[in-house]
Amino acid sequence: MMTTMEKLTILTDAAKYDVACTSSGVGRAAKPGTMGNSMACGICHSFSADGRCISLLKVLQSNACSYDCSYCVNRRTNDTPRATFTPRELADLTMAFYRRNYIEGLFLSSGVTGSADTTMELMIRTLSILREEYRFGGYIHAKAIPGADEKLVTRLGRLADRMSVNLELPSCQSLQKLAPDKSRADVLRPMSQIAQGIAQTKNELTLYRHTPQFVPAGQSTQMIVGASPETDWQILSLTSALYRKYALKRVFFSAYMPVVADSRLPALTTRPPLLREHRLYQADWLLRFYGFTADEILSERHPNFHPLIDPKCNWAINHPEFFPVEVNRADYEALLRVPGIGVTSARRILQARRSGSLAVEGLRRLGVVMKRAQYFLTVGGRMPARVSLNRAQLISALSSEKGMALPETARQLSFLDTTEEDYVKCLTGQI
Amino acid sequence: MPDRTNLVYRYDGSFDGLLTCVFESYARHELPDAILSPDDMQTMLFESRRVETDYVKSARVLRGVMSRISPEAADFIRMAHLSCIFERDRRILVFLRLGFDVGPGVMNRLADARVNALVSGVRYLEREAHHYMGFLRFTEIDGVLASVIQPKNRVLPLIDPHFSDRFNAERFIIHDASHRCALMHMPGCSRIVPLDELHITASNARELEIQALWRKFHQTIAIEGRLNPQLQRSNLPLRFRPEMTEFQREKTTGKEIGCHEKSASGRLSAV
Repeated sequence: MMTTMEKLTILTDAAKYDVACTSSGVGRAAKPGTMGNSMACGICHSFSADGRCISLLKVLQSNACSYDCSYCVNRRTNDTPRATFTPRELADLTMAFYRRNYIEGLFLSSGVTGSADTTMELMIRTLSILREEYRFGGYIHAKAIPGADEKLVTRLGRLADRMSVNLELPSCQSLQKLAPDKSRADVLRPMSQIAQGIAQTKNELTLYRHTPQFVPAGQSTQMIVGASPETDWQILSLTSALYRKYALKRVFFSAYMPVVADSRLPALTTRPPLLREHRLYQADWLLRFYGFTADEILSERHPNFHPLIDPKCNWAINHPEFFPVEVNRADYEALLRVPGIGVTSARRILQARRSGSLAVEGLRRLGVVMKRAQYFLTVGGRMPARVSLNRAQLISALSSEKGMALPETARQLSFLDTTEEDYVKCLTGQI
Repeated sequence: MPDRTNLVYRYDGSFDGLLTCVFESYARHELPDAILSPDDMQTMLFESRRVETDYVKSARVLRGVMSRISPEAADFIRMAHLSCIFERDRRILVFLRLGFDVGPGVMNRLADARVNALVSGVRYLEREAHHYMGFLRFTEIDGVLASVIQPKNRVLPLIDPHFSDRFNAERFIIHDASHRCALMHMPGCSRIVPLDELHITASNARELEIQALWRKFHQTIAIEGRLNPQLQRSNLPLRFRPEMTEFQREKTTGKEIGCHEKSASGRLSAV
């Protein structure tokens, strides 16, 4: 008989490559006499040694998987210790951690143990104990297992706050090659079922107040970047299509970390493409909050991100006709296009303008990063930079110095050139 | 006649005390160089005046803020007073004087240094409170959840609604060691009271087991190939870690703890 400690170790280790750990998207007060509430902004409870946020107890129900996906540590043919939590054991552990304020809730995923349906039933049992028996009001993110029965997906969705189905790989061909047991259809079916369920519940809520809730914090997905040959442009276009078609709340990217030697995959010595992942998140942010479209950021002719320049600066450099923007008159959308002005500082500019016109010193106080913004705006008709740079000069002025100094391999590993204030928030889950 | 400036106000540190200082500043045509609460250690060469808290005067000032500036401004200075920014109380006075001059629009003047100083102070306070909603750790001792924090700002009034809702059916205590006060909660009621010290020692086997499980989880969830202690440090500054279970060393139920234990289940003693 395995101890809880042994199971926790195995099933955490098996779950750690899943990216999403956000606890955001739903605000809910506790019912008197019960434990747990949820904050719409999400709360980070700790950070692990890799710098990622820990918000939820992220574990698998079981890693005894009957599938054989080549990129996955839990694949059938991998020689690794196997364990399965009993629903009671996992529910008790979640309550014990939550009560001590270690976590915001549970992120439950699983290897396919037996069939997709039996796996989902085990997960549903865990969540029922939490929600119905312990009356747990904290956050729950559950993974739908591709290929499971629709009724089980619905039952899981009534217990969870957020659901996700992993797209795994950015194209059909890659999925077929690397995950022969999963088909694109198996992945997309529950995704569209969840999307419809959410839309329907929203609709019913306007008619009847007591409609049972269904995935109130919305749906997310993730895909692995760097295990297959897709370009950044293909990935970003797919991302944008997912937001439109399935109304996803988030798309997560995971730099491929070689865990197995396989002729179909990059060599074990390949470093995870962290910079690429970072740029994808920056671009994802531009899609969701800055009013950019995927085609504005990348195109068939320029299908990959610039290694030294973030996507927003890159757009600005290539669209000199749009600039300079006058901060005292420009609307919100135009302000958002200026490098160095983010969502927060753009809102503050609008607010501060109501009581008088702005000067350069004031812009700094509002949080505008003048180092970048100075080349793209005018303040009362004057450009703070005082010099007009050509394209090449702009590129060198806007490149991160750290990025310039480091050799390619080191640059791939560096997170230090984080430029978007939002990026940190996106990593920490405060969205 | 310009206001006299070369003097210092001292008050009891309460919000009403500060509003009384604002009243005095107007009544006496004085703009003090500093307003000091008992927490402030500075010594000044200037003449200092002790301002006694007067609830009639403070209520008058508060009514004035609500009607001549705005109710939002009243909430805002109450928050600012919980923050730890440099020369906080003098800055609140300067802000109010500006507010009484220009009216409700003062809240929009984010680019004005006098307003911005307080806005950043309040933002810092709110950010720290948000951090503690996540980083605070409870230890269970005899059915009571206990926690010690060392915040820079007075965050207890901000985190009270969150924890009192989330753990409404529990009994818990959160001790703010920096400001020597504590938030005490029982089902149906919570209060902030002065408290100098709180010692938390867990020795209950189940409690130690849960702590060990959490440490194990925290250690296992990190991906070796992406280790990034700098990113970890910028997201979770070192100053929070001494009170966090996952950064504390494993405790055993050995003699070292047993020797200053009276009961077998742990100890929660307040001074």
